Amino acid sequence: MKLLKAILSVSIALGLLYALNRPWGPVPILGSFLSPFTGFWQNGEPAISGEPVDVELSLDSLREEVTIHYDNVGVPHIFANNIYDVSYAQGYVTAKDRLWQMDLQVRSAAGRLSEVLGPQTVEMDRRARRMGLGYGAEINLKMSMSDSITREAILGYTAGVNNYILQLSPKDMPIEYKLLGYEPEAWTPLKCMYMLENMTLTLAGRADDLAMTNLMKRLGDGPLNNLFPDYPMLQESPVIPAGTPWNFIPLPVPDAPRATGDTARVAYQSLPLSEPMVEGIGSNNWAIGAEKSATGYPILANDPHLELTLPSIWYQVQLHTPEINVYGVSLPGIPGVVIGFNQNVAWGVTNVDADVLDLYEIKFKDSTNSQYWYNNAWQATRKRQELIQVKGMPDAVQETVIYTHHGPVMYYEGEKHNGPTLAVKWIGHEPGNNFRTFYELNAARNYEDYRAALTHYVGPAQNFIFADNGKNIAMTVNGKFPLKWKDQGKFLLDGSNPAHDWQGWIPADQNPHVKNPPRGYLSSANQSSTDPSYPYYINWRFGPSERAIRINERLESMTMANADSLRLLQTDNFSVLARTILPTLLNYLKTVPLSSAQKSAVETLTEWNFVNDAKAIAPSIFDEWISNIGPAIWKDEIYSDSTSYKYPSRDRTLFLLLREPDAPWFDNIRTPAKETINDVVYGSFKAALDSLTINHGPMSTSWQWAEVKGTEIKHLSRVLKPFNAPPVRNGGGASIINATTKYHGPSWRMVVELGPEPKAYGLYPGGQSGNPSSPFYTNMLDKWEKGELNELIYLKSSDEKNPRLTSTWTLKKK
Amino acid sequence: MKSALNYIIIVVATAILQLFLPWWVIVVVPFLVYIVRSDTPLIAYIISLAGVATVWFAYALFLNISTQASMSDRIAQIFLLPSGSILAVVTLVGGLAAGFGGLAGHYVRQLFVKEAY
Repeated sequence: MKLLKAILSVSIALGLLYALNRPWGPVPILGSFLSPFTGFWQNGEPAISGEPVDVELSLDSLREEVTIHYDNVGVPHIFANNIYDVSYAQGYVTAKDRLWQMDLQVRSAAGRLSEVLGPQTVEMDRRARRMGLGYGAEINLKMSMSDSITREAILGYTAGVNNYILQLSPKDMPIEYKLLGYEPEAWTPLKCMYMLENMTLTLAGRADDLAMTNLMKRLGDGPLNNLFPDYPMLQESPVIPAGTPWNFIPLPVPDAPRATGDTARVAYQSLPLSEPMVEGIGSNNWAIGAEKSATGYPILANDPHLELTLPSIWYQVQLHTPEINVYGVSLPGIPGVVIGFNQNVAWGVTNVDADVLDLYEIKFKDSTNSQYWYNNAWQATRKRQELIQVKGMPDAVQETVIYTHHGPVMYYEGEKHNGPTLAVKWIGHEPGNNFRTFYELNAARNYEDYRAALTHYVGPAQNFIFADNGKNIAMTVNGKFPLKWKDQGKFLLDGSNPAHDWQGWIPADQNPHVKNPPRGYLSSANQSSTDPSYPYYINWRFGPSERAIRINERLESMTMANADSLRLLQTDNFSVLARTILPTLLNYLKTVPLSSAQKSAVETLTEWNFVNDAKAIAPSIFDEWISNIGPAIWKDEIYSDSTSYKYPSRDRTLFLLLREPDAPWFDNIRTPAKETINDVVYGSFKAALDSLTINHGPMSTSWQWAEVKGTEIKHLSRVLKPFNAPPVRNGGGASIINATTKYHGPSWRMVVELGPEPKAYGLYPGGQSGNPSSPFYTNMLDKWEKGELNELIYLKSSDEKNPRLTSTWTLKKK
Repeated sequence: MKSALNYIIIVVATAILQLFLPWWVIVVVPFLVYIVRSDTPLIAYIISLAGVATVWFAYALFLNISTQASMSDRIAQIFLLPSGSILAVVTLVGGLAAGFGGLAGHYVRQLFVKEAY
């Protein structure tokens, strides 16, 4: 009896201990997670940190002493004696604030999410492996490590992150590690490269080749070229102002090969669906020359639009060494500043959206996939073994990625889809040293330094805006661009035909470029890089033109501008799209008998000033209406539930509505009746009101634009809702300069007044800390929502006093 | 008096040891205490539970107040717990685990020591 009691009670105690000491599905190890000594309690941070504390640390592998001053926004201002130490400190403080974010983004690019998240991410990981992100990261690492400066920066950054991880006790690990039940692992130089690959994937990792090939089959050449032209038909305001001379002798561009029947081999069949490009990933930048500014010096502005998440995409930092003194935003995981300014210059970027991802149809000799047909002979493939470890599974998933000379094979015939085998040729596989570009920009003193810095850059191609205190402004559409025949890669390419290979590269000094244009300002907003006079092909489609048109109209009329004028332009909510099309649409409704609810919607729209203000109702109606019109015109001819497809661009659709009202496309070919433009306009208007009523009730304040748009800033995990930002209620929209949509928006806003002393302003929708309980998690969000900016503290030396500095960290050599 | 002393031993030992050792010392400490020191099973259970609950509750409460519940509120939402209940849940989980540790210690002691319980 005694024995039984002893065995029973010990069993219960051990059983409890066991149950509380292991994870249960998504539930973390409860014993340590709930314990106030080790668990989530330890991640709490006081809302107002009392008296800021100065910290002194002695650290391994530091070369000399480093001083870091924190300001009241949470930005570290780092003072070091060499590039290694400044990168070390940048790595250390970034890891302190953003370790888990860096970890997750590297895992995502490296196809290693399943290691910590389990079987549900295996397919994502497989895609990352097949996309060759590891291959791209490795060859880029070789380039960066063979350059003495970037090597120092990467090694310093890596040592800094690792020394932070080394001193991190389990109780101090970021909350996400505790919830997901894994621990940080060492940082490596290769991981810096994965972060770059990640950005290249986000900004230049899509192609419409499949959709366009399918549509070519269905619509035929004539209609296809008519509906998918290579330059906007209605309106455009290209990045390089029309009329800018091309001061170079272009390389000969090969002619497009005659259709040999090879591409026609691609049967009209189901092809894997590619992810469409989301409108919202884009950006604005501009600069005004001295003649337009009140300061007598140029002023530069930039706001990159990305998916808005927490922890924030960007991390503000000032880096000071004897050679550089730069302030701006960095990407966690990458040394240096990506967008910023120094004593003499400022620069910013927007995405070019060049056609740098092409799909090639591959024919293997047999099922071993060891040879493929190219140039009338069998060529050997290379194989790269990939192992995907999966949490909770005893064996790793094996994936053999086959490499052709084009690139890795993404899709195999007979696998899930019944399309052909496709290899991907992608700029992310091209060796380069983007770090050198960023380092040289960080250190740049003038226009010549800026131009030299850009020559090292490969991708993702960006519109690099520039201004300096020598009163220059400049724009370069920059990246390594393949030399292609016109429209090469608009459709699927034949992987066996050498004429379909990329034909070389556009020389870097022939990339579209303009300096100090007569009009006195420059801008970019993802629109067409140049007008059709540029002798090379970059892409057949770019971002829509409305933001660029509005920016250029405002800049054209601007005089005596200061930083605040440009801040107001960054938060401009005017809809060029509505101005262009709404009066015409409303005209068509005049002939239709309307219900009283419809009449009051028409009245609201008629009175609207085309401004997407947060509290206005008209933008909600217009947005829903215009997004219904495209499908109402094109769905019957183009939509397919089994193959990739793409609707004509907004510009082409507007052109149809405004200039081709009798076009046959308005008829719905799936009905016997003959529909006209009137039916499309009224039908989509009715559908828009119905859908708003279903989702938001009858027209009232619940239809206000900020409510309907419903901008959300989610935690990177996507599932930990309590870590999301509070609801965001601002104006803006997809075609608006203030490009805030449901999930995307201005991820950093910066305005820099050049001059003897730079004056700069900026913030992003979040905060420096990645800890959801930190007062620095979302401390910039309120101001961002209101369209305000923080003045950025640019210190000239470590001794400089500033009332906004709060604490000092000293890193000493151990 | 004996119980008060046991309680103090458990409070002090678990508070100090948890600074260095994993969370499960809250089970081991009461177990060892009641192997060495005799008491009724019920009291062994209650004192073990109370000792660890005190430590966890007090420390968690301190952290909660000093951080304005900025993390615990979010964790409570993730685990779908009513707001304000997380402190009680945590205290209870720690206490129950410790209670069974003490109880097990008591019964193991009974295998070797002849006592009137």
